[in-house]
Amino acid sequence: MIPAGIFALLALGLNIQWGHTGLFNGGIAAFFAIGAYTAAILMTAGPPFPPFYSGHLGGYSQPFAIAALGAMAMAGLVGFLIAIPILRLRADYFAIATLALAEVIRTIITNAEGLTGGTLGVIQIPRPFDMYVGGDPEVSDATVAILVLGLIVVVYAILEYITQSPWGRVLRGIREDEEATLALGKNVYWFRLQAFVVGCVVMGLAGAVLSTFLRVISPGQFDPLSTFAIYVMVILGGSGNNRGVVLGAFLYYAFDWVSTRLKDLPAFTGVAAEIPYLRFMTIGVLLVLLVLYRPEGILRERKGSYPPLR
Amino acid sequence: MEALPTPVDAGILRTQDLVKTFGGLRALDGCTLSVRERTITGLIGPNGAGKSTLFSTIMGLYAPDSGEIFFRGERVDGEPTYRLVQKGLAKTFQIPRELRNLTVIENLMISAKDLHGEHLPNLVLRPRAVKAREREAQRKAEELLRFVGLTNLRDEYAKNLSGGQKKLLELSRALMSDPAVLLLDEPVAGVNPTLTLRILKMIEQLKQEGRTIFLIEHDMEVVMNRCDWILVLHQGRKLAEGPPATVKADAQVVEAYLGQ
Repeated sequence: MIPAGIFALLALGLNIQWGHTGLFNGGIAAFFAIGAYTAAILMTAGPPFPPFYSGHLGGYSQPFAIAALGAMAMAGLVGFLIAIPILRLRADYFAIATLALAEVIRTIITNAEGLTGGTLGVIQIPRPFDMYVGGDPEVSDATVAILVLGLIVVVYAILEYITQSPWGRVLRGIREDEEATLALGKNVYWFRLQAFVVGCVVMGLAGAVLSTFLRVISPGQFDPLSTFAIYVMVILGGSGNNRGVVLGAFLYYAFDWVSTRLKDLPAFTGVAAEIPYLRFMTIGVLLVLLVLYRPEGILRERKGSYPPLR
Repeated sequence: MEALPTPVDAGILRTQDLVKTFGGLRALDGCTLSVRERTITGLIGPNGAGKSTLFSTIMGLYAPDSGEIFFRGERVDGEPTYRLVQKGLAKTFQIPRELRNLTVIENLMISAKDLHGEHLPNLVLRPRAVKAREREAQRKAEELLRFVGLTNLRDEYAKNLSGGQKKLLELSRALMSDPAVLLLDEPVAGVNPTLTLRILKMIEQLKQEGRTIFLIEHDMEVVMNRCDWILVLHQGRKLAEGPPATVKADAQVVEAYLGQ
């Protein structure tokens, strides 16, 4: 449940960039990682560390709310700085540039040991409600689940409000035809920049939730290619529909959850070794079928509603 | 909109020695011309003469290599397109560029100027002003849909419109910003005769409202009968200009474009 919720946040962030504005962000993993590490550094207490662990920047012991805001601000700031030079690039080059950013960020977090703990990552990340609910792991998980659901509701509500506004209408115009929207008198660059940064901020928040949920984060969790799973969720659920992409995230996770457990069922013991490959094949086939027969996804984008004025 | 006293002969829209190259091709090659206020001015010339390039350059969609553009006496080359729209210029595309997955009325609404709701802070700080301005824009959009006769399609996706309807959408959308000068790139190309007549009547009406129409057109009947003034473009510069009768009689124009 909790990973599905984190995916849903990522999908919501991507939806404003890709679903609404048509910006192909190939570097979701970068903003996710920046959020996760920023939050981890802000939340963790300092030493003592276990003997094998050399430490990282930190010791600030901030509450989750501050850490999440910091994560959002940092992801937004990096998004803003990277967008300024590359936002004028054509769509395909923009995708490559952002994908490269994800690799750069992963290299940095792997190697900047003093900052991030290097390959070991950041450990001993606290959870926000553990001090109130005691040490029971199930209760602790439940509090994080509630936190994630709450955040999804809030983020969804905000994104829904701004994307259904005249501001969001310009984003969709840019997605449909950038030059035409420019000729109609919109500052296309500025709108693209805003949409990109808003999306990055949401991805940063998802990262903050990840670090508090896992308590330990390391570079391996931010594989640049994991970006594409988020695209599958957005396309599956319904690009441009905020409700759809949340649904897409949960469906994707459900598929993942079921398919990884199939090997334990007696009926599948004969093919247990092939199941991981079959999973990927199934995802691939489903994606192709979806794009062919229902490109708008499960929940299509809603039509703009302008009831006649009285 | 401040109405500067523009001398008739200076022109509301002028270009001076405009040059625009694409690689080795000089699409505009020292183009100097002037469009007078409250006229229907036709721009004609053979294919590749630089007509559409001129329109795109005036609108700031292309940056000129050199030369100047003046709108109401003020130099505007180098200004971003959205600021030119703000000042009162608008353009339609030769091939309609409807925003496909937006509805017809959304295509118009998005084209309105000064929408408070396009600024994120206003959505939180001034929701009432946002709503009020949206209502105004919607009223104007509905009025324009009535003007071009698309009211019954207002909630249809723009991609589902026919070719002629897309032309009407293109025209009405350009009017949302209430432009003083309207650049129309072949407004009746590929449109059936009945609709052509309707569009020409609308253009006439826009002139009566005090707007200046600058249009590219290949249909000589349209150009000769509807335009007050004609500019002939050839190889990126002005070859001739004058009232329809004069241009028709110009030997150079006949040779370059009209044919025998």
